Amino acid sequence: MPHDNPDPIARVAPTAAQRIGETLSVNLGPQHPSMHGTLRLKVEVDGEVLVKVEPEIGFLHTGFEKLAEYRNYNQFVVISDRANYFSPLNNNIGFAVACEELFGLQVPPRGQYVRVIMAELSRIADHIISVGLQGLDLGAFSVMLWTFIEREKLYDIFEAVTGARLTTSWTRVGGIFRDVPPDFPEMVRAFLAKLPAALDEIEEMLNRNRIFMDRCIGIGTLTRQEAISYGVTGPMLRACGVPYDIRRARPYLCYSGLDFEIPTRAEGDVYARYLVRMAEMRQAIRIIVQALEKLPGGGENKDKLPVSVLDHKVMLPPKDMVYNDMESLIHHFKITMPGHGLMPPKGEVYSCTEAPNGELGFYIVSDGTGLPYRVRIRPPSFYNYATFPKQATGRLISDAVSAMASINVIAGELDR
Amino acid sequence: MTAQTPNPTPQSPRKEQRTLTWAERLYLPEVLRGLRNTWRHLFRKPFTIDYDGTERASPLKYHTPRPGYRGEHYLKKDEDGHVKCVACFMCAAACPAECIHIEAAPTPPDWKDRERYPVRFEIDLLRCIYCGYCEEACPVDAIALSPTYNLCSVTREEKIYNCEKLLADGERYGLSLSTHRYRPDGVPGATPAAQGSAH
Repeated sequence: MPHDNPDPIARVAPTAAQRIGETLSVNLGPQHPSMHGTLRLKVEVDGEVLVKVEPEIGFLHTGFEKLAEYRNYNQFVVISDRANYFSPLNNNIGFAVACEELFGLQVPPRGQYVRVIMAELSRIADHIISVGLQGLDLGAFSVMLWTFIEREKLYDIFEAVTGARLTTSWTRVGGIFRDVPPDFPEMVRAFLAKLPAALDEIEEMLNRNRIFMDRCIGIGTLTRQEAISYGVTGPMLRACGVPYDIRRARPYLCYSGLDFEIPTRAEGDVYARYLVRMAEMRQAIRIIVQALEKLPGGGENKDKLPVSVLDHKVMLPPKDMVYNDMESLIHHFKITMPGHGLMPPKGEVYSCTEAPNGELGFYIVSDGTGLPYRVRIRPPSFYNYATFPKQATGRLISDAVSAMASINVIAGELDR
Repeated sequence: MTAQTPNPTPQSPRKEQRTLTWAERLYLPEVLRGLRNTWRHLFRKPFTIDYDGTERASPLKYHTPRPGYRGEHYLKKDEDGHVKCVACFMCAAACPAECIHIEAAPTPPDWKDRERYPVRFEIDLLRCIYCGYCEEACPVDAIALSPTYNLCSVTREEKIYNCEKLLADGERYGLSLSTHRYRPDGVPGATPAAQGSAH
C-alpha cells in the first residue's frame, strides 16, 4: 500500500512494477479534456511512467503582437483582453500601466485605486477558477461548480463596471473609459462579505482530502533554484519559497500605500501552489477592503474627482463638451483619427505588473508615430509552462495532469 | 504610506500538515464531512437562471444587464426622422475589428442641417468584438450599443446589419443619450438638440 510509506515524497515515486521496459509514443492533446487549452504533449511512456515529455505550443497562435503593429495604443487594449481570458482586467491594466510609462502620464489617485480594486477582484476570479479546475482535474467536481458561482458573481461586478463580462476593454491610455457606478463599493463589499465562507468551504473540501493530498503532495516539485533559473513567477515561484511579487518589488499604481503580505510556501509542489493561491485570495480581500476605504470620492464621487488624466489631448473629452465646445470636438477628432493625436515620444519601455499567473510584461518600442513599432508581451504562462517537462518526466501520467492543472497555463497568452 | 507588513519567511514543511492524521485515515468520517457540504448545497436556492433568450417577461428567465452594457448596436434618428449619422467615418476609424463599412453621399436638398449622410451603413457583427469604441468615437451621438446580448442567428447574412435594421433597432431601444461614456446614472449637460431628440 502506498499509504504505508510515511514519507509523502517517496509515496508518489513510480515503482519498478509500473514500468514494462519498452517505450510507446503517445500524444496528450491538443484535444484532451485535461489539457488546459489547446496544448499538445508528445510523451514517451514506459508502462505508466513518462520517460520523455515534449510540450508543443502554438495551436492557439493568434498573432496578437503583430496585430499590435497595426492598431493604435487604445485599440490594442481590446486585444490584451483576449491574451489572458481568465483575467482580462489584469491584462488591460498591465498594458495601460506600460503605456502610461511610455507616454509619461500620471493617473489621478481615484483612477489608481479603482484600478487596484478591479485588478484584485480579477486576481480572485483567476485564482478561484484555477483552484476549481485543479479540483476538477483531480476528481473534485463539486468544488469546480462552486468556484464558478463565485466567478459569476464577480463577472456581474465586471459587467456593471466595464459593460462586458469577459471582454472588458476597460482601460485607456491615461485612465479608464468611464467612472465606476455609484453603488460600486456596496457591490464589492457584498461580494467580499460572502467570499471567505466560500473559500473556507473549498478548503474544507480539498485541504485534508485524501485523494487531493495524494495527487498533489510531492508532485511537480521545483526547487527554489530551478524556479528562478527558469524565470518562473507568480504563485508557482512563491510556492518554491521566493517572496517575489511585482507589487512589492516594483510597486505600480498605489500598491506601495497598501498593506498586504506575500504568501509563500517552501515545498514547491502542486499542493504548495494550491495553498499559495488560496492565501493570495485572502490577501486580495485585504487589499480591496483597504483600497475601498481609501477610495477618493467613494462610490458616489460627489466632487467629480477624475479617474483619468484631465489632458484632453490624451483622453477623449466628455461627450457634453464634444457636442458643445469646438475645441473639445477638435481634440476628439484628433485622438480618434489615425495619424493625429496621441503620439508617444520615441523610445522603448518595459513595464511589468503582477498578473495572477506571475509577471506580465509589456515591452513597447515606439517610433514616435501613433502606432507602436513593436509590442512584445511577456506572458507568465510561457515561462511557467517551460518547467513542465522538468516536473513531469519520470512521473506517472496522472501526475502530469495534476502538475498541468497547477501551472494554470493559459493558451491564449502562451501562444499570443 | 502605511507600514508594510514584514514578509514572513517561507513556511517550512510541517509534517502534520502534509500527512493524514489517524482520524483522517479512518476515511469514512471524512467522506461524510464532504457529503455534508454537498448536501447543504442541494438545499440552497439554485444560482443559475433559465436562459431561453426569447421570453423576456419574467426576471427569472433572463439576465438583465446594467445600463452601459455593450451589446448589439443601433442607430439613432434626429427630430426630423433622419438618421443622425453624418458619415464622418469616426466609428470606422476607431473600430479595432474593422467591421463598420460606410458610404457617404451628399444629403438630399430638403435636409437642412448637414451636408453628408450615409447611403450605406453596415456593421458586420460577425467581426464585431463589442468593445464600444464606435459609440465612444461618435461626435454626434448617432450610434450606440444596446443591452441586447442574445446574439444568435441562423445564417451569416442575418448578422450583417444595414442602416434600416440598425434604425429599426433604435426605435425599439429608444433614442436617449448614450450611456457609454457616462456614469450609468447619467450626467446632465447634453446639447438641447440632443436632449430634444430623446424619445
